[in-house]
Amino acid sequence: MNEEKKTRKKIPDPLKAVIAVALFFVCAAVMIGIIVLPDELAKAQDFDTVIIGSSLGKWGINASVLTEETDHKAINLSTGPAAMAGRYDALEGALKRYTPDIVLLEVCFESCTAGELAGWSTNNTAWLVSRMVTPDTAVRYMVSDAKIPWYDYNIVWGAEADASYNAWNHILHGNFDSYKQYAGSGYAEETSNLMEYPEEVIKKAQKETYKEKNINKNLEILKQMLLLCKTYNARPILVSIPTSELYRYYNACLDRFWEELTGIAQEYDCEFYDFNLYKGMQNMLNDSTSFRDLTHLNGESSLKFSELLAREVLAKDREDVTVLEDFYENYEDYRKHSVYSMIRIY
Amino acid sequence: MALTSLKFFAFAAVLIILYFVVPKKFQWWVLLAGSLFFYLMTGWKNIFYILFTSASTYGAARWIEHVSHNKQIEKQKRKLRKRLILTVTLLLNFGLLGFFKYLNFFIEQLNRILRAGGADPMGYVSLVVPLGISFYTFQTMGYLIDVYWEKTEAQKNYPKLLLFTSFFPQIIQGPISDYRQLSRELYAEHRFSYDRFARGVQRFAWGFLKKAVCADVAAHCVKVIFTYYDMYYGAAVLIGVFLYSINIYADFSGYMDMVCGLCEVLGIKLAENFERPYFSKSIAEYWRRWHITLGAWFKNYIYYPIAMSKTSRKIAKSIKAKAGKRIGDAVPSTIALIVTWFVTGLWHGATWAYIVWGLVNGFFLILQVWLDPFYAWCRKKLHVKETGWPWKLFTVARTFALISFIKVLPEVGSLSDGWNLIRSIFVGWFFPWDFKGWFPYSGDMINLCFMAAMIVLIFVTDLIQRKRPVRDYFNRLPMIVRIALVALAFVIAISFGVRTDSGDFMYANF
Repeated sequence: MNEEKKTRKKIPDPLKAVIAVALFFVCAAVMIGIIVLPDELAKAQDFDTVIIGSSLGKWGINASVLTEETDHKAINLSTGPAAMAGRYDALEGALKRYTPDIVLLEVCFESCTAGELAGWSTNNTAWLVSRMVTPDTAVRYMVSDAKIPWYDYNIVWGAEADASYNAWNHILHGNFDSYKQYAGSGYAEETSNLMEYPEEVIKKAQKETYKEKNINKNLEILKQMLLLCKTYNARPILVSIPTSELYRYYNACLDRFWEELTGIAQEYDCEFYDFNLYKGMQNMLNDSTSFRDLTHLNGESSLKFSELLAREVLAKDREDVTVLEDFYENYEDYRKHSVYSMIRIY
Repeated sequence: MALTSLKFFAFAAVLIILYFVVPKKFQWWVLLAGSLFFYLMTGWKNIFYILFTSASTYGAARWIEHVSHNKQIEKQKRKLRKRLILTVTLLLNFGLLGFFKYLNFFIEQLNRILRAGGADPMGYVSLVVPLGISFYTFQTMGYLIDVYWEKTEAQKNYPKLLLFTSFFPQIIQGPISDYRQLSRELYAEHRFSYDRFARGVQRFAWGFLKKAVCADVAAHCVKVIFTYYDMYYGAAVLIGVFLYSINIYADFSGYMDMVCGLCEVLGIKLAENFERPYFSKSIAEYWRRWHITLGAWFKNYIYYPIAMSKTSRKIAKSIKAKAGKRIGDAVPSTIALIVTWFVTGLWHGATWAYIVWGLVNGFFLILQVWLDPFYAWCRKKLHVKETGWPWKLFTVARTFALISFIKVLPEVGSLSDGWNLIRSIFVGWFFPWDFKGWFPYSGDMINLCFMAAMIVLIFVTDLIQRKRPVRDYFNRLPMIVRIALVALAFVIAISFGVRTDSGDFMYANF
């Protein structure tokens, strides 16, 4: 026993340290193998279809449905911010990381008109961006740029605002993989009653004036995004998620939005589908039960819409799809055929 | 080169190997070379300032010593000459520090006057403050004053003094070491010891874990809550205030653990800066246990010289005659406290918020000096059992709350913001149902859970530490378990460091 002790003591300190350091690295390597690598490997998976957009895309498109319906693995990276600027970062990250075949660029009226604060990549504005995800932001934003009181949105809608903020924070720090956990999943469960919106708010919303500076900036970035997709050999598709009839019927600005985007789609040779003009929409969705607010689909309707998107757009090469025939020519055409004014909710 | 970076780990590994490979009499040269290399990595221009400080201090100390020993000069003249050398050197070095840290603050105050007078304001100067200038200036000036007071001998070897000034583990944020203590450690010859190596690495890992898992995650929450405090409900702001205290403690003590651990590997014992400060029962006790070396510096070189000066004693004497002994005794320490805390505030930052923060701390200490008999009377009347745990718990909680509130003042940016933040605690109390609801915008849930676990761990270790060092218990574990736990700490800390963009230490800004 004593001899054994003596032998142990004979190990010189430096050698003991070398052994300890070696053991340390073995342990660290094992732990990295157990803790870090699986996470990294999980992150490393590829996606064939990437969805980039605002909160409309986040709540409106269910990536699992697209995957099931098309056999193409899809991921929804849409977050709250409405303006285009920040989405460019997300798109660039996604193209580098996943090299997708298809990029669904969700575009909405706010995508073209939102101000700089609703999208530019700075730490301070990242927070301001989050206010764009509140349920009534669409209306309020159209009415004015005035500050929205905190209690209106953070307490009630804190989780979503939080997710947006975090998503942005991760983009800003170049931590793209962490960002995606805050991105869209298309399972919004809440359904609020549109009738709660006071009539004067809706009326005010109609008086929204364009800010040319914002529009030009947003559209310019959209063009850059389309070019970026092409650089990475991805097929960009512009998609507008259906909004409530109340919103699209009364919002005259949508006409210009549609014109601008149609022009860009032609210029850059990409597809553009505005599902606000989809003829079957009136049968598929209704204002009372399909939306969680004026513009965002709820869980059930997002499933329906995602199925439609998968069937009509992503599987477009199939012969039985006649998607273009199912759309109104433009908003004027839509209003002519709409019966919405007959069923006013007020 | 951040202390939490892989670059630094590589640097430290090379330095440790070299340190123990070279002949022992050259060990301090390795430290000097390493320190200068480390400092050069922060910017080559910075090296000139540290060379200036060390050279001027070296020259002045040698000169002061020479004058002291020169018996040919009469005593009064010797004293005057020594004082002149000391004053000029202090002015030069503190002037340099002041130039970098306070020039823009001075311009700002001047501009206020100019604007009030209708004149055009001056432009601000763009300056990059040399890393650690506050720390090394204070440390070397402390040494110089000690030589002046003949408490220590002047260092005759300039490179050795340069090492004392630039020793890399403490250059970023201290500790502000006493020359007599640190020089013994730095210039001594050290043999490699496995036990010391293991204990040093353990302490480094613990500090790294504190920094990456607790401080950086808390910093993110605090930053968001403090920036948008007016948007948060009161309870969340209150949590933010307490979290800030934890953040700054985990950050600073984490750094200390890292550098002390590294030095322990080298066989060098650095002065400790913390002694479980949040277990203090009064503000005075807290300041004896928080940033101990800075407190000691201010106490030795500002507080005592003022409180014990001839003028103070004269004032005390005259007041004693008129108002009694107690008041007479309290006045000099009150004056000394006001000056000390004004300077402490200014040292921490060139803003009014920091100055007020310092004075508020001073105010509470003065209150203690003046009202201590009254407090004792109250406790007696209320039959408070001071040795009982309820009273101890109350005093600890009270001190922690008070300290946390005071700390907020300079952190938010301006005094008015600090005040508004404190006010916002009392409005909009709302209790979210979910944990995440308490911390909107505060980051990943997993980060928050780790942070909460780490806070508990720090609390428990501090609690155990009261009786016996936790490392004594830790080192009873089998060697392989210890190594595995240290490896786990590193893996977690590095993984968090990557996730939270960790790196900078808070006190490096001071």
